[in-house]
Amino acid sequence: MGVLSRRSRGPERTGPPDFVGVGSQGTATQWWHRLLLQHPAIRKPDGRRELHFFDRLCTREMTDEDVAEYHARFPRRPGELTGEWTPRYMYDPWTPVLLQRAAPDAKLIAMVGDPIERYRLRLQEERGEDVSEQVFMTDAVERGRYATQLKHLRAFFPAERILVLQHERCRRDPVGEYRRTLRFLGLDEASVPKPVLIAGGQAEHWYAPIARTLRLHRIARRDRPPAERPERERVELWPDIVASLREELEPEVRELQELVPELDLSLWRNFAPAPVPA
Amino acid sequence: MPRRAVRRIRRIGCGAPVPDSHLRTGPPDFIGVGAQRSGTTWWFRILLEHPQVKAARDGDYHRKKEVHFFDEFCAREMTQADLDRYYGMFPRKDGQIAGEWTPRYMANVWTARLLKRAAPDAKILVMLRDPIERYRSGIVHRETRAPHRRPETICADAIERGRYATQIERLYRHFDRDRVLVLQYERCRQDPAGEYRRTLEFLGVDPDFVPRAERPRGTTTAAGKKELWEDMRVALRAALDPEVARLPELVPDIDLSLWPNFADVERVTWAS
Repeated sequence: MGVLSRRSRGPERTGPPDFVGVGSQGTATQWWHRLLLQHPAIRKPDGRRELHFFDRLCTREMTDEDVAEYHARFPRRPGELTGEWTPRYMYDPWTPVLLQRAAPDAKLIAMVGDPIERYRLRLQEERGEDVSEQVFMTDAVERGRYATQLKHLRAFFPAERILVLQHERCRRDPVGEYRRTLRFLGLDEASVPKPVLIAGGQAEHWYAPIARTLRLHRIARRDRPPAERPERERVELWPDIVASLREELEPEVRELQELVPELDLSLWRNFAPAPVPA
Repeated sequence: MPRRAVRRIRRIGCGAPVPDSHLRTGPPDFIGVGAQRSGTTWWFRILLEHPQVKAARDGDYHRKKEVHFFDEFCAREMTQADLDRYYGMFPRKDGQIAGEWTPRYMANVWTARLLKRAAPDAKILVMLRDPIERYRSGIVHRETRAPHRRPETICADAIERGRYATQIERLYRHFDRDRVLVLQYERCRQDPAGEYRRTLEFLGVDPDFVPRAERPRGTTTAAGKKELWEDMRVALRAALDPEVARLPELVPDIDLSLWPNFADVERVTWAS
């Protein structure tokens, strides 16, 4: 939709976001947010797509000026929806309470992915780093406590205003999950934009944007430019770490399944239910 | 003068002790696994006053409280060569016990399983402190120790480390409950003699030894800590209440009245 038709919708105003993506790291949230922005009625926030607005508010109290500054990031015209997506919001325990103050009516979207696979990817990314930095793999595990995080979110937002998407499912059936996302946001689910339809029909087009998205996502997180990064090789996990991670995260995943019945665990290689013996 | 400098001068001045051929090495007899900012350095130091308790030794034969041996095994497999190196760090004579205390171990998901493999007969020490006070102290500690870290990383890590029940459940999956002693920092402050005796009894050394009175050191003074504001307090309570509520079931003798931040927390019992 062109600039002219946007203008015809009426004057621009700012205010709290209509939706906020809150999770999670390494699940191609930038890719999904970019697909959402293809929709003519969804507006990009002012500045970055990941605002990381609440991150620094762990060190000081959020003031009314902060809230006003947050609202100013979301210009939209009548009929348009706007929002941001910062993957660490769901992980940071101080964020939901602030989000409730700054955007009480927002709908929240959380993208989740197989947490052991997320650990492997993070390790692959961190390979070659200093050992003392690798210790921060603790953070990679903690970020996979989806059930704990979702329960914490639900203490501040009603369950029906939180949509949990599955990364693997979005990759497998982007159009279907896109429709679900539109329905959740209160938009016409038939209005899937053309790029999404094209992408959904051609499997080979999927990997490039995902890889690109992932890399961009990491640049957003990391201080080092990509050229300095060591060459990527596939890193495999070893039995000890898989056992430790599974022991730790299995209860989380089972609980998430209870909280989100539509979660399809057969898509999570590390947690797939055992096949029923014939 | 900074504490570290004092320690260094003391060390150089006295000269490093020479290893004795009568010493035997092997898996540690006890390992402290947590928690950071809970007075573990103080407690370890007074434990070392006991003639039967020895600390780990590094390559230069200097005493070491925190070995951080298991940290790197989040990124690679632990091998027999690693274990041999670890065992070599615990020289002691017959009748003595040797160990270390790395507060990180408890927070790292991969450690408990490896700990059981490396030291199956070790006794595990845990020192806990009110997790909100621990948080307040932890952020100051990390800000000074790791100023290059982003504040949100520091804060999130400081909250995660307060998930005590999850961490103790993990320990219990690999070690029998009677091999794990959970101490409370606040109680050790109140009744150091009693808790010291309890620790010695648990470790199986002469419990009648009385250390020189030493006040806790290494904990952040109240002045260095930031007051928490309402939103943060609500967030911390929402995140940590479920953890604190599960603790009495895991550690029956824990005294939650010593943690005023959680005075009104509802305990989880088997009945509920």
